[in-house]
Amino acid sequence: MSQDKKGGIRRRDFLKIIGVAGGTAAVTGGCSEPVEQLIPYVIPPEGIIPGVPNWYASTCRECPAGCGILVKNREGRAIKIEGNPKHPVNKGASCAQGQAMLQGLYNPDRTRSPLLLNDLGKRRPTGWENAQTLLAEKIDEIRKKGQNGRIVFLSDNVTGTLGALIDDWMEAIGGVHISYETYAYEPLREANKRTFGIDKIPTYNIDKAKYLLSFGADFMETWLSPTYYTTQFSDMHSFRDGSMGKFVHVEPRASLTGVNADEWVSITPGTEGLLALGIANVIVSEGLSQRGGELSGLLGGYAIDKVSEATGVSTDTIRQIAREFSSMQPSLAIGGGTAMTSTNATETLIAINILNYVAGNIGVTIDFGRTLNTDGISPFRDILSLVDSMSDGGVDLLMVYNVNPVFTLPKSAGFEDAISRVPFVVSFSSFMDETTEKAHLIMPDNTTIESWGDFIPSAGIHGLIQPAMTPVFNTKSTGDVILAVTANIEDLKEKYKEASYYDYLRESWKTAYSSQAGLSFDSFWNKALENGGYYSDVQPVQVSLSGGLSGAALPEAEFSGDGDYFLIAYPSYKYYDGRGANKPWLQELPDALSTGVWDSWVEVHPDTASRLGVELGDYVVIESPQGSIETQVYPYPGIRPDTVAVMIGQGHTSYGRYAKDRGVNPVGILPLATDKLSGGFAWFTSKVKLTRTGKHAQFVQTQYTTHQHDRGIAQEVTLTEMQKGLPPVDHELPGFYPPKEYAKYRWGMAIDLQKCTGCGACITACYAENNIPFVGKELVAKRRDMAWIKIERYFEKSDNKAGFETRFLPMLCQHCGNAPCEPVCPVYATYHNPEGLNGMVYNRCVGTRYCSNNCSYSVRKFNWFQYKFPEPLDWQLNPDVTVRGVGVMEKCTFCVQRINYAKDQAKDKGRDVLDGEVQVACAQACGSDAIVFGNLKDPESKASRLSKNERGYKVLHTLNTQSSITYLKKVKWDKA
Amino acid sequence: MRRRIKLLLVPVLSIFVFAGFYFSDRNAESSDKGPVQPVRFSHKIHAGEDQIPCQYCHSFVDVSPNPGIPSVQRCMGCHTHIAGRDVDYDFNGTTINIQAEIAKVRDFWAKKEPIPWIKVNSMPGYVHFNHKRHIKRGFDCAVCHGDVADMDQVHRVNRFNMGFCITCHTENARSHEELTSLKDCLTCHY
Repeated sequence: MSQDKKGGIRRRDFLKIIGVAGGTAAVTGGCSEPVEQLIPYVIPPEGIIPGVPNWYASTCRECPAGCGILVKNREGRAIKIEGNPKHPVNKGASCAQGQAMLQGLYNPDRTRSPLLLNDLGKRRPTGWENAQTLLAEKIDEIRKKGQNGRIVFLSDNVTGTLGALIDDWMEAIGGVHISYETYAYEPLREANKRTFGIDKIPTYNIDKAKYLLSFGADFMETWLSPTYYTTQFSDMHSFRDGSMGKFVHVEPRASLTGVNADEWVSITPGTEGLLALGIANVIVSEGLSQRGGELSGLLGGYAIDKVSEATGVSTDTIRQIAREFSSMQPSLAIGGGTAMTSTNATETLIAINILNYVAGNIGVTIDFGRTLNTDGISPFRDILSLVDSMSDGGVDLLMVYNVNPVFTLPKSAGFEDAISRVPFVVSFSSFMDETTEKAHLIMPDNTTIESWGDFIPSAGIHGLIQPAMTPVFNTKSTGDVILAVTANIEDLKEKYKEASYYDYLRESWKTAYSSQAGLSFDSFWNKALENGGYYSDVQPVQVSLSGGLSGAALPEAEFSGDGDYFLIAYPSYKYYDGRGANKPWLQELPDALSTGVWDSWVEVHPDTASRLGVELGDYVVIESPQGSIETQVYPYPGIRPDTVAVMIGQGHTSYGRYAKDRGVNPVGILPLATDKLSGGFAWFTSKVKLTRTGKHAQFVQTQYTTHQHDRGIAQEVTLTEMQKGLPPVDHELPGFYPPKEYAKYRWGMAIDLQKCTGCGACITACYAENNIPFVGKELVAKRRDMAWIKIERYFEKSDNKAGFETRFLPMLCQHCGNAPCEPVCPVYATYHNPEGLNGMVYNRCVGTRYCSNNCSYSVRKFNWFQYKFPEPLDWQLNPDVTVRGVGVMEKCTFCVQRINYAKDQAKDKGRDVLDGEVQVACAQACGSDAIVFGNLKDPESKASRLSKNERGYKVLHTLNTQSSITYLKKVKWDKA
Repeated sequence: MRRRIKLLLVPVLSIFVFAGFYFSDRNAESSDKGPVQPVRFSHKIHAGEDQIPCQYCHSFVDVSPNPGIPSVQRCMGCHTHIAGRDVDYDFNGTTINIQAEIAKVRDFWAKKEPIPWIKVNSMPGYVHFNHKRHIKRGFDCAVCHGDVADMDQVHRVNRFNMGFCITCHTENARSHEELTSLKDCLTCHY
């Protein structure tokens, strides 16, 4: 071996030695398998069989809709959420937020134990005993001062037992309970009070309506109960027996709900009420309806020309809507979103009520029997007086539960400053959010999946919440904390006899419900647990118009700020009011319209963008008198040139690694304005300035084109064509090889584009079921997102009023009978299985990526890295699905683990798999029933019958891929 | 010349490396020792002499893909009453005291700690094997696991590679249709 002068080893020789030594190490020691351990239970938990899932019925608390859920538990861990088919709200469907609940449960940034702020300003973990004693002492101290109202419990609208407990507790300790809902629907209640004398929000029967006219109501996103109304809408709007309902959406911006409408009518901001009265006027003056004569005096002031001028909606359109609204009976008009958040919101909604009355919809499509449980929500002026009181030192102790007002209230409300003046703030949040940052003591609550509870979203629906697993961290349910703290207060020791909140809950259900069901309490309780709650029928309530309406006036909406653009800060179907932003699945779920991920953007009309000299990805500053935000431009044809829109939910300054410092919060720059009549917060009152900054960055989205480039991917037929009957199309093209034979099963799918709303619940459900990693913004920017199912959205030129129409198409592996990916794989890692699946064998894959290059549908995803699931997010992984490693290709498997499970269960019963027994994750989650999965060999299966539908077609069928997925063309309303 | 030797080194070394892989693998297979467990639990005594059926401990084998390993509570179900003989016992060539081994189980139980058994047979994460289907079809545990009733220390009798599975599937398929499904990759790999 050559040595250099100093006697050391030369670099090359060193490498040689290392090489040989490494090889020897591999020979001698490298081949033994790693020692794996088998850890048994010490005491086996009752009812758990390793390898067999248990399902627990519970209630979702991600938004106030209160859908029923089933939580799948494997070996003690919750691994999947599904909608509860027995629940009257969502009937088995779910949304992306509900699916992502698991990433709240397993969020790595959860507060893992009680935390106390010490004198040095550092948070230190403390024990529950200590925290409870401390809180009890504080309460005792304040009570001794002898002044009531110095303790405030600020929560969301906690209905049911916990709400009652908080009320009762506050009364006992001389405190006040304030229920703050970000979206409180105050104008809607006020309008109903003034129109019908009933201070409630009814159930709208969209499914019964033949014509739906929405004034800004984003009922597929956040409005009242989105999953409920999505299922109803799908029912009303699906093409059946030669007809379908029509949906017209009126809003300055085409929201996700708006683009699903047959017509989107762009309207001057703040004039929705005018339009409603204008339509009502046409109906009454042209004698299109029997009703409304008594209102002709009021309506006479809304002549069609005047209304058209103010709203920017043409007289033809107004007449057309009036005719359709009165002739396509029953019809329904609803108001929400921008129509509910101006300074004239209540009057606007009264106008919409009048329109419904004139068309005869009250009591038909509007049911005041099953009303929403909004009674407990405190008026917005209570929140404002709380801010005043806190600033003036009138609050000694503030307890915050399940709300984040520092984030969700505009800066101009002054909550952030006010809370800093409260001497002691307790937060029950399990997450370090902006409000919790201000807390002195954090007593983290269990998440819904870990706790007992109940929730009453609307009359007659008593949802039960039961724990589906033991708490992940050292958290404690707030009900239990309240009981324990009360027991620590000297003179209230005996107040609550129950040892735990579970006992308290049972006791409360005992008094309230046992007599109603005619069962022993235990069997009643067990049945309620099994069904996810207790549901009773509610008799419809007839309402009539109050007399004083004929003198009602409609003031103009007020906007402040000297900018040129109206600013819409719209609630997000992914993040709601910001609470969803800490869940990576939701961050990586592409926005339905822009397909943007992990960030904020401002929607600007293309004409406005060119006037400003900005393009996709350019940064602009949005400035209001209350502040400014800087974000990227997304040119969007579905918004008025004088309006811009930013989604609410991003722009957190805290709230964990996935939410913090990401995007902007438009609420921050809103002025503190209220709806004049109801006093509710008016979100839509700001006019802003837009200035280009000259900065540009890639706008990270998952689909960079909005055109189909004449490939006919998402197809459409008109209603007239449908009613004439479509000519039969032969999908089979002649092939070089003989057709494939299938014995018992050929798995396939039918996707109805008429039903798909683009909501993305299927995408998140797929992430959850199939252990799909989230990759983050930087990798999505390089087109390396791993979603097995994506929603392609296309903006097509159209002759409708908007000038464009939107088509959504769920795209996933087509499981081709003649797959382009298969013959190019050099190692047979992908192949056609005897049941029609395009199999992907991970352990064979060597990562050439030929298959993905050759896939006509771009649905194959490659693992460029070993993706991480930071603990405990990995607890969520489905044990029935392989976690793929680096260098491996993957794609939709048609949930083969569920197919195998169903076959296993069927074999136990000695029969074949029946139709409906295999539900793939995406089809299960779908609220509009757009995706149907089944056996195509069974001519009676639902999927099989739909595949033969005359609207059916295969995407890119000229390639003769013989795909297993049949798409059903969207049906376009083309009749006047 | 020197360069040639260097070049020759490459194939020679490769042969060594691969031979190493081959032999080490062989050694692992031919080993009848099995891993040394934290408690010298004798299947020979329990399943052999005492004739306890496999399913008494591995109780989920016919209802779940996983057979189930007995909980410490299940061990104590008997060993609360059975302290074992205070005798030396030849456990695969190692002398152990039966009573002392049972005392270890009691210790785990007293501390409420699980016994960290070492896996004898292991499947990679990309293989989904279902015990239930095989038991319901009427296969005896011994077909794959060997005559456990005659082993003190359980060791691997068959190497569960794909050849082992497919051979058995081919031999036992009752029809062509069943064979097709039993040889399908997606039956186990997903």
